[in-house]
Amino acid sequence: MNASATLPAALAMLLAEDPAKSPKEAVLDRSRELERFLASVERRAFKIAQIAMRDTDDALDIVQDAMLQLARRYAARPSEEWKPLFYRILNNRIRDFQRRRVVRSRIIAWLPIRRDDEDEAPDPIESAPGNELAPGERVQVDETLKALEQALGELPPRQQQAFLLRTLEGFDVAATAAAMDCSQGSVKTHYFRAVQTLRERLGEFWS
Amino acid sequence: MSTDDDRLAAFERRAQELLEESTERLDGRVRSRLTQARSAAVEEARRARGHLAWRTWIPAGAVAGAAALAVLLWSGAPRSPEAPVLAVHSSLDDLDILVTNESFELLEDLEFYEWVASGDADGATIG
Repeated sequence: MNASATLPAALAMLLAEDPAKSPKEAVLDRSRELERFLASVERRAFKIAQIAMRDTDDALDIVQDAMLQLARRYAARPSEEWKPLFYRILNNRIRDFQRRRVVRSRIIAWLPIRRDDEDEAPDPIESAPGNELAPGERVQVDETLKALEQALGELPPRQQQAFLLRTLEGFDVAATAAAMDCSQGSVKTHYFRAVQTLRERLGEFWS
Repeated sequence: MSTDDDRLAAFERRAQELLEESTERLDGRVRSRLTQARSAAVEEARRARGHLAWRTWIPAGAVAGAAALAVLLWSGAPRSPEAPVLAVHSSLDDLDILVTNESFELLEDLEFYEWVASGDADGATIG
């Protein structure tokens, strides 16, 4: 996709949207629109990356990369295109990180280096959840969620993507196919298999 | 709707609720990092667009500048009664040099070329 070739046209379109506005005002409006869009997707995007990577810091890096990439290359595109573009970038970044992790683990396996995570105790304030349920209910929800995330993390990547994009982001089949860069038939197959596997594994938590 | 469809719909709804709820319960450090990432991205877009707007105006500015200079040269060209036609031609030549962007080295030796054009060079000797 040659984004740079379309940028001047997109800028002209941006300025033509409201001729009464100065270029500076038009750019500021666009920035606010981009900020609202990113705020609307960032938490779900983080969750998708976290389940895929099973690592909070990697997930944060992936979301940050995806945001920057969208801003750098596609901010001038019509805002309706941002969502599928953002999730496509996100999925590509997840795949890159997973590949890098495989290579890194192969190298580390040959080195006499071991990570010592015991010194990095979590900050109880930072890790405090945002809102609370009753203690008994909280425990039950946490257990169910943990089981769901565990089962999702063990799915093949494409099944995982199809399930999360459809369930968490609420994409329809066509939008999921656009974000995953595959056919709608493939999305249906991946999603069906994902649901089948999850239902088998999580049966006890949903009974 | 069959019973299995009901169960499937219930499963999807439950999974969605759980995942959605988990995104609402992200800890402070994650929320802060996401906010920082978002701000950095918006700033990046603003910078990219500012650069783009600046770049878009360069050709227009260059053409306007060249046109202004051409008008200046034309209006300030010598208008001796014996050579009005030559003066206009000379100014058009200047304009040609400005818009082609290829003969800027000529400007460095402008006096030399004027001297050659005046005909004084015919009788001159070197050394």
